[in-house]
Amino acid sequence: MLPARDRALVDPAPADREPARPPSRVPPLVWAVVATLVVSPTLLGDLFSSVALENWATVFLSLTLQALPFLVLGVIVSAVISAFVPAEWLARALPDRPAVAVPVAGLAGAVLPGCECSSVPVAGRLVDKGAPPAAALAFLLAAPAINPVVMVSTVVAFPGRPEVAAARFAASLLAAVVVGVVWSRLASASWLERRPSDHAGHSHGRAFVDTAMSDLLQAGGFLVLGAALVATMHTVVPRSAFDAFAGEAAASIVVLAVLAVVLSICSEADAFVAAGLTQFSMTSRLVFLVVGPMVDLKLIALHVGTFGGRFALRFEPLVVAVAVVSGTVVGTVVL
Amino acid sequence: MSPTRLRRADAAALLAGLAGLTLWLSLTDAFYRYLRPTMRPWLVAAGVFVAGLALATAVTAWRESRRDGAVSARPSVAGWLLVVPLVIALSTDPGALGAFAVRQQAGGYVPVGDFDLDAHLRSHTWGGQVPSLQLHQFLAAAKDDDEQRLLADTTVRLTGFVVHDRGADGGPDPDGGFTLARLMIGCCAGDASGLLVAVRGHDGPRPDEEAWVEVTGRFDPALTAAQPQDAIAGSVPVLAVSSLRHVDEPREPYEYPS
Repeated sequence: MLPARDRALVDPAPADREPARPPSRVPPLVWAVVATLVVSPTLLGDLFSSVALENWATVFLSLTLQALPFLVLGVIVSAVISAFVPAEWLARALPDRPAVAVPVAGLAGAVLPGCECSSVPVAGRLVDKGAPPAAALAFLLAAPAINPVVMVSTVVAFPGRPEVAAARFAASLLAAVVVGVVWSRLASASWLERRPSDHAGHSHGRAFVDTAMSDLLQAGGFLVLGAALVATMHTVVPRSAFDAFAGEAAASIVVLAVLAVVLSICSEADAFVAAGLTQFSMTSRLVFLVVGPMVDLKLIALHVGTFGGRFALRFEPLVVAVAVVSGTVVGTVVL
Repeated sequence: MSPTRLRRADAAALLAGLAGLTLWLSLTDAFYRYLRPTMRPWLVAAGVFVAGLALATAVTAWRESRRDGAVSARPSVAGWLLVVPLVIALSTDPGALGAFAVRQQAGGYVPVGDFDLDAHLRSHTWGGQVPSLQLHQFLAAAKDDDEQRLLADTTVRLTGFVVHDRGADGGPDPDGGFTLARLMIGCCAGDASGLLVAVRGHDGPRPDEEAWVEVTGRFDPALTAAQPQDAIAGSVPVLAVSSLRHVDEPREPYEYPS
């Protein structure tokens, strides 16, 4: 058993109330492997002399590095909430009725000036602090698509066509709110892994460090997993594989939704790629811009890490379906 | 099931490794292989924060070990995956994206924005020097009906790397043609798009694939129209080359949308 004062900083989720296990035996093994690879670089260096593997390594490292500042921003916000916002304060601050709380939380996403990697730890912390899950999820989905930085880059990528950014804002917020409302009606509380934080007996500073440390390691590990997957897709699947469907309206919507999930491009940069997809219809490109910041391979990895696999299994299909419909409807009306 | 947890000391070491990787790749020129320059201060700031977090975690771990032996902290073993980028970067130190990435996109999606060639030439031509254009600027002008003509009348300088053309059967091109290429990134190398200009009329031996060259020449509308249409990007514009020289890979290997 841990001494009482240390149990407070250990995950107090119900499943973890059992006595702590002895520390895992993994560490020495991992450090040994790392040391070997670093000391004799030729071991991996030879393997990566193939142009395909070198391409993989460059994309993998660039995806990891690119996400890091945004992940750190999200982790800092999450840790501040954990250490300084009193428990249950959020639940009281948000309106009781989901019909009001969900749109409010979705709109609140506009204040987090980052991409999708920032909003995952923040949404996770909001749930842990007692915010209604539906509201936190609306925030999770809306924040990366409707914040000012992303809006500006969308306007820049489509010169002379500000309606694209407007349509993106509307379709993303709509999809986020619909998913939130559906979730509040249908979802079971047990689908979400919760890790309520309990910093009783610790200073704010200690609570901040503990939360930031564990959030960053948890999300960072899953980010690496996601980046490796995405880099593999980039290296193995040529983009032209999707072009055969460009001529057909319905098929191109499905294809660009799939492309958004597979490419996992950061929401700050995806508008530039969408601008280049000129062989596809405007509506299907809007679907690309709505789906991408909500669900992609990198995000699925982060969602699994933050909310658990049972959550992701139900959440991702729901979001993709709602985002595709929302993008198609708004695109047909506006563009 | 209780997830296996990290010891606090290991957590501190992992964070220190992540901070080291981030600061190394953000403070050296290696940075430009991965991200666009405007991201640099944010990456440095992230590296400094992670370093501070590693230090604070190490201090906590040390205090705990003096009090009552090793104590497990909260993060799961997923954190161990953070050694992967460190190992890859240290052992392979990969170069910037090149011909493989260009081919992978088979013509690439080329975002062509607004570009005023006339204004650019007036501000970049002095002392009889041949004005240089970035590849995305050349492509924008070549695809614009109004500016095509001015472009065809102006000798320009382009810098990029060499991608050997392929014949109709996918094998080596019997004519030994090559294309000048550059990759454009919006944020990181993960969203790169290929920029391509076909080079024609080069007399000397064909440069090696991936070699960085500076070519001088003029846009050729007739040859461009005669080019086989690329299924994706339409026709690749042709530069009728008058001179070619090898150059070093630039510090910033990619182009960026304005």
